[in-house]
Order: sequence, then C-alpha cells, then structure tokens
Amino acid sequence: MTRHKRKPARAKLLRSLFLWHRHIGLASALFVILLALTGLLLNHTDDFSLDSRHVQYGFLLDWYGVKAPETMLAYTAGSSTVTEVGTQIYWNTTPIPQVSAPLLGTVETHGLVIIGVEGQLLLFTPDGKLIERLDNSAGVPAGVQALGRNAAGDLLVKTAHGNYQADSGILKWHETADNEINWAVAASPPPALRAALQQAYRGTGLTLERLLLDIHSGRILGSRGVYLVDAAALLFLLLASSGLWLWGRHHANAREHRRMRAAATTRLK
Amino acid sequence: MALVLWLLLTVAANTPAEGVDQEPGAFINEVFAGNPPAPEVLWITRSMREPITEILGHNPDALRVRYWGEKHRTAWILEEIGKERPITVGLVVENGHMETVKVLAFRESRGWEVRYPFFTDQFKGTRLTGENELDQSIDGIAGATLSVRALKKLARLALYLHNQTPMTNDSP
Repeated sequence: MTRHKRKPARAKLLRSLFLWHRHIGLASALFVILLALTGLLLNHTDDFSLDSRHVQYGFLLDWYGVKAPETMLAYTAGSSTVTEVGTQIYWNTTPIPQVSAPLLGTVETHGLVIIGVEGQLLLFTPDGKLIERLDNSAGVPAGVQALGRNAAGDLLVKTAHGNYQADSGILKWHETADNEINWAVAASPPPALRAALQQAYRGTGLTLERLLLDIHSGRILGSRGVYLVDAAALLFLLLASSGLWLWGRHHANAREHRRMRAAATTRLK
Repeated sequence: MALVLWLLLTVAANTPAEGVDQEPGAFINEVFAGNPPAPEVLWITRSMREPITEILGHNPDALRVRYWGEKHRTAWILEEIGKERPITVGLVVENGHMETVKVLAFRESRGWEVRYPFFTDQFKGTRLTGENELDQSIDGIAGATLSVRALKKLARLALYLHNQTPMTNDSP
C-alpha cells in the first residue's frame, strides 16, 4: 500500500525534474553555442591570425571607446604626408610597421623621402617603398632632434652636439656649420586626411582575439557580463547534475522493470 | 661601501638596454677590430627578390641592404621577426662560410635561448647549398621554434647576400 502511495509522488518529482532539466537545457543552449564557437576560434588564434586582425565595425569600436588622438603632427614630403597619430606613424593613411613615435621630421632630398624617428632614419622612395632603415651602426649621428635640408638639397640633422650633413646616398655623415637650413616643420594634417587617419587609427585599436576573449568571458558587457557567464556556468553544472541524476533513475527503473518482467515470466512457466 | 657602490655603478654602466645585448655599431667595431671599413649598400635587384623571398618566406621589406666588407669578409646587421617582434642579428661571412652569428637585440617574450653561443655557434662554418639551404643541420630549441627559424633564415640570407657582393670574388 505504502509503495502505491510513494510511486506517484516520485513519478511526479521525476517528471518535474525532467521539465526543469529541459528548460535549463534550452536556456543554456545559446551560451553553449557562443562559448563553444568562441572557444574553438580562440584555440586556433595563430592559425586564424586573430591577434593581428582588427575589428573595423564602428559600433564595436565605440563600445570599446577606441578613439583617435586629437593631436596629430604631419610633415609633407613631395606629394605624400607623414603623420604621427598616437604612437603610430602613417605614410598617408598606411601605418609604417615597426616604427613608433616620436616623429622627428620628414624631408625629401635627392629623390628620397627621409623620415626621422627616435634612433632611426627611414629612407623611402617618393611612392612609399621602404629603401632602408638606418641607425647608429650606419653612422647616423646619435640624438637626432630634427631633420632639414640645406640650399643644395642635402639632408641635415640637428643633434644636441651640432648639425650633421649626409651625402646624397645617405652613406656618409660629417659635421657642418651651414646656417642656411630649412628644418622640417610639423603642421596639422588637412581635414580629409585627418578623418581618414582617425578611421585608420581606430581600425587598429581592437583585435579579433580581444573581442572573442571578451565574448567568451562575458567582459564585453562589463562586470555584469562576467556575472552572466558565471550564471551560465552554474546552469551548465545544474544541467550536468540533473542529467546524470535523471539518467541514473532511468537506468535503475529499466533494471527494475527487466527484473519484474523476468520474475513474471518465471511465475507463468 | 665604496666597493658595493663601485660594483653597482659598473653593473649599471655595462647593462645593455632592454633586450639589447650589443649595439650594432659596437658589433661592427668589434668585428673589424676597431677599424671598420666604410659601409657599402647592396641593392636588391629584381633577380635577387625571388631567392630572398624564398629564404625569408616573405618579400624583402627594404630595397637595399647595408654591409661592411673587407677583402673576402662581409658583416651584416639583419632583422627578422620571430613571432611578433624583430630580432636584430649581426652576421659575418668569410669566403662564403659563416664566421659569426650574434643576436644583438632580442625583443620577443619567448625563445631568448637563441641568444646563447651554444646555439649560435652551430652556424659557424656553414655554407649555402645550390638550393640556398644551409649545408649543416642546426639543432632546434624546444619552445623557441620561431626564433630558431628566424635565425636560420637570417644565416641563409647573409650567406646569399655575401655571394651577391663584389667581396665574394676576392681570393684569400
């Protein structure tokens, strides 16, 4: 009699648990898909070059607060403009790799465009192809502060200990007392270039890897997003526990059912 | 106290900048015993671009390379990215074989073991085969695969570039 009373209650509990398991499963599905996809991609960061690819969507860059600096220093050399934006140096709107601010000046001389940054002079063709990077091993005077040209169009650099002049191939340097020097002067870039540079600078501010990591951890929504992913993780634990428990009950019931059927068959025989 | 102060000052004076083991200028001076020849430049011609691209695995990033040469010996300061940041290496080639490989500046966060002589000494005496490969095998370092690869590329490049200079025709 007792057995008959307990069985429906247990069945009701099982049914209720099964329904909850299903609802939790449905609620977790979105998180599982999101975490699995982002996890898969992050596992292959190198293969997909996620750390060197950048997000270009304006709303995401706004969400992350990626802004271009207001102050930009531009030097014009021939038909090109070299600009310092933040720590990056741009040839028109193309970032120059492995070079960082401060930009000391840019001059065009003897068919070459020379860009001066701290510790280096970069030689470019007028159409923007890098010819060579020069540092102190190539005889570039130490502590360059500014770049300029003399009346003959030769390259000169200003240092704390004097001015130095290069030959036309920028191979040899000698100290000079030449006073007629036009030092390169920085200006603000034209409005159209400024807008393009702002877009270009913002476009390098957020890597795909960062975005995926933040989606994976929930940080894309701030601290609340982290709690949301925490809640999802708890749901997963609940789902796994209820699933295991239901599977166990189902397994036990099936075993009992088989045992009872075997006993009934024996009695009939 | 004075001794401690002297030691501190000596160490501070001799400590290279972050990641820099030796300044390129100092390397060139050392290689030519304090009397380096005037630098020369080697322009990367169209016929040289293909083998260089094959050696580096990417297009050369400059149109000319500076070197210092004397008789049949040339010295090069070359750079290649290991994983993310350039490794600056000084290389000396004599008579078509590698004399010295020295890491001058290492800026990567991993793979710094390539700076040590136990690794760089393996390049001594290596030459280029007809396919622009090194004629000796170089043992790798676990955890420094990309840095090792970068140094192998630069060794092949220096040997190749040496063969393009007038110094290669000089007899000893």
